[in-house]
Amino acid sequence: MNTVFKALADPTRRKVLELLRKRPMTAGELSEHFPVSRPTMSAHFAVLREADLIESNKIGTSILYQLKLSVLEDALLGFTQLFGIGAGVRAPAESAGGAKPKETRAGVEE
Amino acid sequence: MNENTNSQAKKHILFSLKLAAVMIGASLLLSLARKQGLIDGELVERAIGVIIGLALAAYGNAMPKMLYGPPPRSLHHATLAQAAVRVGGWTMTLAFLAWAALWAFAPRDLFLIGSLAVVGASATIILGYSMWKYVACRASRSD
Repeated sequence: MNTVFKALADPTRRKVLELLRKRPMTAGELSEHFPVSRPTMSAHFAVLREADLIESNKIGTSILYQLKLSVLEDALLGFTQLFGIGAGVRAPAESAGGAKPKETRAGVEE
Repeated sequence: MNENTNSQAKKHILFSLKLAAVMIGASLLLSLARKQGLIDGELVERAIGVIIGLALAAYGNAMPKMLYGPPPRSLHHATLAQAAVRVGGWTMTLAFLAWAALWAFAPRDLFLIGSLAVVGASATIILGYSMWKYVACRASRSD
């Protein structure tokens, strides 16, 4: 459960889960929604996978991410979004598994 | 099935067995308490109903995690599977929480019919939603 709270504590990862609620998406599609580098996004995906909140499957040449939330986790995510818990908190680099981007897409990190 | 899928399947089977053990163990303890004259028959009946409801709600809660079948063939297939499992999990969890509440608090002539109606409605929602999604999927493919 600790890994779940760690995963949900970061606004970027919460946004990833919110996007995946609509439909499963490829890594590329998800990365387009964030002004961060692909290595940073990969680190976020790894944290979510480790917490068993998402599942990845290879379809053709792309990796497809699917939501894997229990009802309780889904409700918890809904509450954090509803009340904006941690919305203003900037996630430290360690929260993404210690990965640091080599370069950013838009030149800024979030 | 790969090794990761096997370990997930084992974890889910173990979880289901634990739930079953809790239900059986609690029922045996309640029956024993009744034989000892500590509690009356209606309380035993209601308590067992509540335990069954909560155990099945816990199972419904974990249902969306049990996507350990074969990997999806396409994005469309993955979208359909995710939507069906999420709706199924939420419906089943809420229905069995309502079941447990009815067995705990509703008057005697209401809890039997009420709980069956709630579960029947949830089964209809799950089947109806799955059918609707399946038909929509077939229709979009034939276009």
